[in-house]
Amino acid sequence: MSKINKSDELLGLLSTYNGTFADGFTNRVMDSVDEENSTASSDDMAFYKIYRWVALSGVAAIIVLLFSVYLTEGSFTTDAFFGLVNYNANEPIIASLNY
Amino acid sequence: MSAFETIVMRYERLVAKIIIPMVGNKYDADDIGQETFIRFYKSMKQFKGDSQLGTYLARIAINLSLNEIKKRSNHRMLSSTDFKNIEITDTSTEKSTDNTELVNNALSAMDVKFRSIIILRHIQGFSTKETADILNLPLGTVLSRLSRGQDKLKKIITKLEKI
Repeated sequence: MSKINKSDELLGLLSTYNGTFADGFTNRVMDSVDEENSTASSDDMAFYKIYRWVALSGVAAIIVLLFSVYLTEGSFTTDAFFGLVNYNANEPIIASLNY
Repeated sequence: MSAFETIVMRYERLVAKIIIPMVGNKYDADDIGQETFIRFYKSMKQFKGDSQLGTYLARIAINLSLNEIKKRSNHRMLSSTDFKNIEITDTSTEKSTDNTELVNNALSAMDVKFRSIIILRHIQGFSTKETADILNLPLGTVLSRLSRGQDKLKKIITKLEKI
């Protein structure tokens, strides 16, 4: 005998639909989420390591630069930093005239 | 117990009642169900509460199910959308009287555009407007597909019961 001759019977049949996932679904989801988190945190860790190396290299380069400026110019003034301690403004003019 | 775990437990049945009849395979459905919650977990910060959580999860679940069906169709494994070519699964050949199996078999024989609307509106109990929002369809389209889908489903179930 058919269960659905009328729309009401069809709707009744659909409303009794009982679909469920296998037991332990929540645990499987939480495991997957933990796995996702650990993958994401290891990616973050790798990025942090690279960032730290780049940052430390930059700081080291700046220290070396300052040290070399101090050795060659003997001070940390702005002129020393730009190599203008013994600069004579007339030199380029004389040099260009000679040329 | 974390808040997210509580959400999973609370909405597990809602998601199951969308995905299982959509894909018609409990094993695939389980994977898609997990993926649904993982997607939600990743996008939780973007969830501003504009829609209800159930509607939001339903949208993710239906989209992932549609992706799975599309993937299957690319592998020429999609169940027939033609009523005349209904393929009956093993469970139905056993003439199971279980309503859930009957509905699963009938829905798997339907075109996905009718199937998704029947599932959201009649199995899940969303309003017509919520169904339209979830599927991003105009209300009129949902109403007309709902009516045609019901007629098709009645015919399919009647035919399945005769087998």
